[in-house]
Amino acid sequence: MYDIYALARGPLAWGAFIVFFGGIIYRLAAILLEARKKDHVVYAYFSPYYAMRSMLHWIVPFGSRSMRQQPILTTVTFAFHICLIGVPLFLFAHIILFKESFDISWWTLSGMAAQVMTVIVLLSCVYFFVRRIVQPDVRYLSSTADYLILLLVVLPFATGFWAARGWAGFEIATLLHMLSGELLLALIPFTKLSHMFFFPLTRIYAGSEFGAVRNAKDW
Amino acid sequence: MKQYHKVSSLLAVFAFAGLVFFAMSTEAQFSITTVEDSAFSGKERMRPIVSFDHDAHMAYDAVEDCNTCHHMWEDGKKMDNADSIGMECSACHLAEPGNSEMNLISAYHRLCRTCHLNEKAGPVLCGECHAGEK
Ligand code: HEC
Ligand code: HEC
Ligand code: HEC
Ligand code: HEC
Repeated sequence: MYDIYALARGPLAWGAFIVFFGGIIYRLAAILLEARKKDHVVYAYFSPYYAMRSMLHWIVPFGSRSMRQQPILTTVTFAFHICLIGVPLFLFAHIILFKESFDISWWTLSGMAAQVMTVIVLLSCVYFFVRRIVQPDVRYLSSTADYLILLLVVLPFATGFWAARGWAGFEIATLLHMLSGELLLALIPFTKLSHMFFFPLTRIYAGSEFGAVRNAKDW
Repeated sequence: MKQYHKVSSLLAVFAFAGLVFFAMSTEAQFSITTVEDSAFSGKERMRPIVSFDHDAHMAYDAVEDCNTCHHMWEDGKKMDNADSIGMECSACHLAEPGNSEMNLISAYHRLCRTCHLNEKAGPVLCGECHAGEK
């Protein structure tokens, strides 16, 4: 128990953060270099104005046509992403660990807010899962990896909730929480979850192409 | 004669009350079973209260002296032959300019958990320490 804790709190935590940030830099650099080689006109047509315009339309709820066509999915998706990013970043239990290790701290959520937001993440995942199974077009497009990614996201949130509530078996839940959170962090750059940092690139590319070249909307 | 009886029974009552008070106060002083820093009282705690058997800790090998916990510092070094018995941790760890509650909580966690982790004995997870009633 103590060894697993020490491992998860020390080397594995370092490893996860290094792979996460290193992975992001690597993937971004790789794609930018490849674009320069294979599709260098992309750079010529880069337009900050149209890129920003596209990004804005896709980051504001209901800012795009496809979002307005699917109001439920859009609502769930936005609530999900806000909670998904907000909880780990502002959870008191996480910040106090940063304080203990590096003497840095920042604003934290109340325990109640964090728990409600965690439930929103978990229910959203149930929704995404059911949607993948029930909706024929989505089902057709879903691979095993998509289901595994969903599980990858669910694990740290479910075990974290369990640990925070102090339910029976919270010791194992806490350790699983640390390990699954680190696994998730390390895999983000190398799975579809990379849309986290590819999102701006996609919008810059599509926004510039549609706006500056085709004179059309891309939202 | 009547007067004398009155006085003596009054004295007896006082003596008994004094004894009870003494017993209660030593009880309170010598069997600390929780950590309840006054810095966290007065508002709702975020976590359940931490139980802490003060006497039992004195018997553990890892606990060398009172100042293992009730420490005193000088010029950035911990003093061997001085202690801060009778002072709450918050008396110093909250008092430094710029310090917040985060510093105090961090001090508790680092002192308690570091030893448990080194000794591979005692609680290290949030829920193991914060296991009492809210
Ligand atoms: C393992 C750490 C530890 C050791 C060792 C330790 N104490 Fe304590 N002591 C504490 C903590 C924690 C408190 C509770 C502080 C609080 O609740 O604010 C406390 C409280 C006290 C109090 C009550 C203070 C008050 O203001 O109510 C006294 C008196 C005390 N300790 C004396 C001693 C003496 C004497 C020794 C050595 C024989 C000793 N302690 C060793 C951790 C320790
Ligand atoms: C008389 C003032 C005083 C009291 C009381 C006090 N401390 Fe400290 N403590 C200090 C000073 C000074 C330092 C060293 C400077 C610093 O790191 O802030 C220190 C350092 C620490 C450290 C870091 C030690 C290290 O090795 O890096 C921890 C952890 C800590 N204290 C916990 C506690 C706890 C828990 C209590 C209550 C049981 C307590 N302190 C009571 C003054 C005090
Ligand atoms: C210098 C070492 C040391 C420090 C400091 C220390 N502990 Fe411990 N503690 C131990 C050891 C060793 C055990 C395990 C005893 C066993 O299981 O045999 C333990 C056990 C415990 C336990 C389990 C039940 C019990 O009392 O035996 C609790 C709860 C606990 N500690 C709380 C605390 C808290 C709270 C603090 C900080 C105020 C603290 N400890 C500081 C060494 C330490
Ligand atoms: C080794 C025991 C120990 C562990 C492990 C521990 N704590 Fe604590 N914690 C304490 C002690 C002792 C205090 C001071 C309690 C007091 O004076 O009321 C404290 C204080 C706090 C406080 C401030 C009081 C309150 O309830 O508002 C919070 C919040 C807190 N801890 C959260 C956590 C979290 C989150 C974790 C896990 C990341 C954690 N603790 C792990 C011992 C521990």
